[in-house]
Amino acid sequence: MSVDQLPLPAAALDDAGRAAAGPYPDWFSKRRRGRSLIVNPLVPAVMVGLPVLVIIAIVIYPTVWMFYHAFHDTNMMSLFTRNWQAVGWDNFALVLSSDRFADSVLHLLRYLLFGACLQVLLGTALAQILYEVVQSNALRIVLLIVMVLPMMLPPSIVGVLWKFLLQADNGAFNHLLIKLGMLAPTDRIEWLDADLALWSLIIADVWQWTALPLLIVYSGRVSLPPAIYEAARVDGASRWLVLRRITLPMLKEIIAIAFIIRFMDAYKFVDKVYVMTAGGPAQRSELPVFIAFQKGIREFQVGEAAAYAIIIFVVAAILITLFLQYLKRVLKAQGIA
Amino acid sequence: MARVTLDTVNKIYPSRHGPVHAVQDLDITIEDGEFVAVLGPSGCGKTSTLRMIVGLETITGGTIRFDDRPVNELTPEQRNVAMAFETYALYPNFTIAENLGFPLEVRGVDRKAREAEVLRVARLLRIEDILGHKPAHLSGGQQQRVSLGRALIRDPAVFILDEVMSHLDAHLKLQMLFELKRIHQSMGKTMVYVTHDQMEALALADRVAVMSNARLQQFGTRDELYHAPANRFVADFIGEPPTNFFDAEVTETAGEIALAVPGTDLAFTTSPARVAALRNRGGKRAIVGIRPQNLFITPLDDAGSVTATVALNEYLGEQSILTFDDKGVSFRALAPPDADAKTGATVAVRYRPADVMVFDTDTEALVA
Repeated sequence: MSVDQLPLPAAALDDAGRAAAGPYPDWFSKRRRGRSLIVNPLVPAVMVGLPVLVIIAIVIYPTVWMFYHAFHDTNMMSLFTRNWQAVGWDNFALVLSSDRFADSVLHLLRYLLFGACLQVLLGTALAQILYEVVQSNALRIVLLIVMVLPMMLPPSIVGVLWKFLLQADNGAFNHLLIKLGMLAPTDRIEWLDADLALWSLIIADVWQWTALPLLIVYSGRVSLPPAIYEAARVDGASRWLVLRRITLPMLKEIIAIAFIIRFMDAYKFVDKVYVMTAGGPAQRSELPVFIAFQKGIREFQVGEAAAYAIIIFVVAAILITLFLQYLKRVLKAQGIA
Repeated sequence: MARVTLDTVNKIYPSRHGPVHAVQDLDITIEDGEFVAVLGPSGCGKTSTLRMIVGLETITGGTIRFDDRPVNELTPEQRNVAMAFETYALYPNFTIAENLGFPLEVRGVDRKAREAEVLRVARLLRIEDILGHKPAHLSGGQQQRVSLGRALIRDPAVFILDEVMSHLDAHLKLQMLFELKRIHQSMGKTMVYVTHDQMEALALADRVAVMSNARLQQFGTRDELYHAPANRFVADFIGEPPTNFFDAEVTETAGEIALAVPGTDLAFTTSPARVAALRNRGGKRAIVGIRPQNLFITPLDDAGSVTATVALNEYLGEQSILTFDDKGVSFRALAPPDADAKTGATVAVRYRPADVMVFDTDTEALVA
């Protein structure tokens, strides 16, 4: 309830609506406050109009432009000469039938499965360990800070960092493996080579982002009522049974939300790809968003890039709708909405 | 089933402001099959006591025995106790049937036998119709019964009930008190019931342990607590409205001992046994306690009564609470609603000497 909806005591306003001497000072009167703010009838029009114009300029116009060009053969030349031809659904057919797109979708799936899922699994396990196993509060805080630190770095910096660490000849990672005796001193693992490039991206991303699901699940675990765990102790349930039958089912929704957040990030994952592998070698670590970026900004195949963007947008819209429906059901089940 | 013995049990919590002595030298023996209530105001150590019996809290000093077996180092499961929690502590993701059956599930009872037991307990508590629901959809009273049921489904050595009625409305509370009594009588198990409500404690328990300031004040039947309270605290805490207390001077005229309240016309005599005890004790001062229920309004010319002015007449329907004022000393009496005692009237108040309790001024302990 905002302030002006609050019922005013009888003495504050007289019959004509003027402020009268009463328990509240003058500035609680609706009329006075209204007059003092709206000096000129243009003020509200300008205050609403400017943001609307900005949104039209940076969101609505480019979107309409993109949809228009998705159905034209626009490229760098035709953009300059301003003679593009309508080609119907050709751009979409081109994208959907290309191996490059199919590969990138497979890369994305692999990245989601081993990147986002692994982060959520690891985060959940770490949160559980942090809560159940670590007894000292001070140690718990220190560990939390240490684990959250990578999240504070810009993703592109993390990309550069890992590119250095994973260098085949003088990278720290190979050096570590050699020191540990897991690799012969003359051997090299080509981390950024065609076979491993996507896995290297996944390693770097897991390193950076595992702390987010960890934080979310940990805070969920902390908020579970302790009395339930005491009841389980009195009932004689083992730790494993408590975890399986009580803790995990109660954290189910929170884990799902952590996954949704990681999924949304993963779906638009482009920064580390750009910095670490540039989609290569031989397009073996490309993701759809990265191809759209390449096509549109690098090669100026505007029509094809627009088709990519629309396909990505439609899939994202469908997935987000499903997620929102799930969230709504969860909230309803918990009596929140 | 078990006899529970607490032998000089102590509980000290470390805190930022130094150690807190929550339970001090507690000695209680709860007989096998007995229903004992632990009664006391908030923060008196009664919940700490109960959590030590259950095994949710370590014991700082002393020994707790089930029969003759010390259980200090045992887990709740090894002690075989069942507990119902103040906050119910139902598993929110389980249905009611799963909640009730969980203690059996933990013990590896197969599904068929589990369902039969769940149904038996549900019938006992009259919750058969909500077995398929989740706890969030139940009322407080229903959740409370499920929580009780989860304790009752097992065959434990001791039942522990922690303030289980404190969230129920008055009507439901009366009903649950009756049912709990019935369940105890039919099962014959040792039960420990913690509460801050004297009505619950006195209605349910065979014996009541009254605690205050981390110490046991008195452990006895309701008659003992009511008629021979060990000290001023128990006399004050048990009974509604609370006992009237007067700082009195012990005076002796012609061999008769009387307790006069200085500055007023009030003077009390007490039973021969207490008079003898007062003589033995010596001393000039004592605290007189008399319950409002034991003060009666009589005609003014009645000998052996005290006179007082009515300061307030609170009409409660079945009876009235009269507050008297005698030169700055106020006290209360219960009177029938038709008593002729308007505010400002002077009336005579009569008492039986046997009802006059006498406490030591310094130790506040009962004198005989």
